[in-house]
Amino acid sequence: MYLAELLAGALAIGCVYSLVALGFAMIMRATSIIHFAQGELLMLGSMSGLSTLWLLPKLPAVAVLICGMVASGILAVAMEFLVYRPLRLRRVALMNVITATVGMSILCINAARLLWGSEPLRYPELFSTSAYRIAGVPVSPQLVWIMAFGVVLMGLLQLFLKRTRTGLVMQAVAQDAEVAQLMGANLTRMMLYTFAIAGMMAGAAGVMFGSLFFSFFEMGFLLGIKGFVAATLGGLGSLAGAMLGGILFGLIETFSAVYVSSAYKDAIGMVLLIAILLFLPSGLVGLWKARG
Amino acid sequence: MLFDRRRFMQVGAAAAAGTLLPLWARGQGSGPIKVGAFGPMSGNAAAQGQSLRQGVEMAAKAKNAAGGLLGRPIELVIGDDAGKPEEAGVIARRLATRDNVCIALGSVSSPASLAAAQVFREEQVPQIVVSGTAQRITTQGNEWVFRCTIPDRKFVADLVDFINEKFPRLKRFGFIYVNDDFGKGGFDSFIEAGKKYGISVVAGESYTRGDVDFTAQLTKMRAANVEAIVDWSRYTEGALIQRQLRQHNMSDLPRFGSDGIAPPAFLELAGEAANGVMYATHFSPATAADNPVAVKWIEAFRSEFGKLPDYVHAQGYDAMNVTIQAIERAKSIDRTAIRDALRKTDYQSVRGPFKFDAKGDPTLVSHVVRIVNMKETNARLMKP
Repeated sequence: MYLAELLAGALAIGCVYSLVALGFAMIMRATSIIHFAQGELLMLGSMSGLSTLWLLPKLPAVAVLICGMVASGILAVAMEFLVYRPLRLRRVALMNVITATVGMSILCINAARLLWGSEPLRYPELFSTSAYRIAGVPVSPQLVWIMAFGVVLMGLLQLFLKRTRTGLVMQAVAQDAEVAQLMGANLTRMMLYTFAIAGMMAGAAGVMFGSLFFSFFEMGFLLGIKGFVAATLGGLGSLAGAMLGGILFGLIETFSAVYVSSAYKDAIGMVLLIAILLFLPSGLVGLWKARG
Repeated sequence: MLFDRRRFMQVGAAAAAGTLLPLWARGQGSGPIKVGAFGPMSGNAAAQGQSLRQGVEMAAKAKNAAGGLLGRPIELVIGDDAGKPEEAGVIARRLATRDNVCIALGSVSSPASLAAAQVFREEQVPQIVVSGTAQRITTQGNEWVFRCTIPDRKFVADLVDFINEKFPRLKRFGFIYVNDDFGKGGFDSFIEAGKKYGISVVAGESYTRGDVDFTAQLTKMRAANVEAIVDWSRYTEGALIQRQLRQHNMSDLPRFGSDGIAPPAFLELAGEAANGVMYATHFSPATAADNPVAVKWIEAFRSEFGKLPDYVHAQGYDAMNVTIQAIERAKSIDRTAIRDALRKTDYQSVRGPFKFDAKGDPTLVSHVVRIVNMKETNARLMKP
């Protein structure tokens, strides 16, 4: 009985990690950048969703989610267009671009502190508060909805990448930019699309996380790191791996807190990161490919 | 750092002034009575520092308006320790020597209070710690230190007494706490104080500061079949814990907490989930109704500042009044005479009857409040 509740909690937070990890993986694939401001895109999406709720308190949950996604998407595109792209055009070393993403992250944190203050902010209840009963087991509606949103978003992303022309071009660019460009793909536009989608995923994760807990100007740091661990766990650059990695990381984190120690929850996650990098550098996907 | 000649002269001159000035200052017999008040006037805990200052100032102003102390006006010397022990040490030295105060009131945090206490002990200046709750402030044989707030262990023991009085059937507790000095101190003291009533902690779960997801801890508590839950957190984590207890349908259990959740921000973050939670607190307008001194003071405070006083206001106000009475008893501003007079304190404070025990701790009893309809109410008036 407690297992069901734990599972629901772990899967919901896992979905949040998956969405952040997806952003990392998409940007990694297309540009080889490790985008350290991904956590801050999450935070800004969360804050934007909350601010829309302050203006329009009656807004349904889906609309709040979309607002957060749009805001983070626009911000991510702005980052690419104003900072990363000019850097790439000047043929700056990759390491320096990655350093710029760290700078971007610090900039976002400070801007958020100025705009929204340094105290945690409460999200109003987005979902009904009485527990749902699934097969006789009471489960919090928030957890159910967050899982549902997460799965739908990831499904839509897969459909977009596999079934639309733009999606296929993006995949082609990610695999081999030069060849794709020779075939007529517009690289600049595809990069913008990549950042837009990565930003939207982070924004959605931000609204979900905010409604579960709260919004806080520093929330992006640890969540960004955890998303990165999830992406590494899946195998950096693999989309399926990122989704799987996020869910798995959520499960590991929650269950290790129950069966090992709750005081060292975050430490266990970081030990995991080091272990993956040491023993399984290409992640789950690498493992699967090696067997196949 | 290299000293050139000019810098050497500057430092030398400053040092000479530092040693000679107090001699000159001590020669003054009449004039204002100098009382030091210090705390974090800037930095993270600045709000509490300001509360300390307002509380102390309010009491001093009232006394000055009524003709002063021993016929002389009280002059407050305010110091800012920024909540840091190293700063507190410097401020204490300055108050003791340059400002030549006859007594010092402060600080808010325990580390800063302790650092200052070492200096005041050396300089032989009586000190009343306003808000530092760490046990060791008064357990180091320092006869110059007094304290205006209930120390940690007594605070927890008071909550345990309350639980035993109002909920005598609760024996199996789940205890969740932040993994630092504050949380661990609360956890250890609770186990210690619970022993005599047969109260045991069957699930003691900790977390790291900044954690947001307490699913694992709460699930373990439920699996241990706890009858009640105690949470020793600060308000951010405390609010999340109350909300998640509700999400997991555990909010029907009696829930207790620490004064870490007393700031109003707790209610803002927790919302409706805060209802029903009971916690020990140093002062609350909700528990002051049967104390006429407190009722009068809260009214005066409200008309002066346009808001309700918090617990540091109350402690600062009490510290200043205890000082005034001690100086009146001593009929002198001699530091040793004031210290000895403080030992004989018998004062009706805004938090109840107030005396110092042999260690210098107050003989107050903690207040316990219960959140009902998003407001603090006096939990001691509950029926058992």
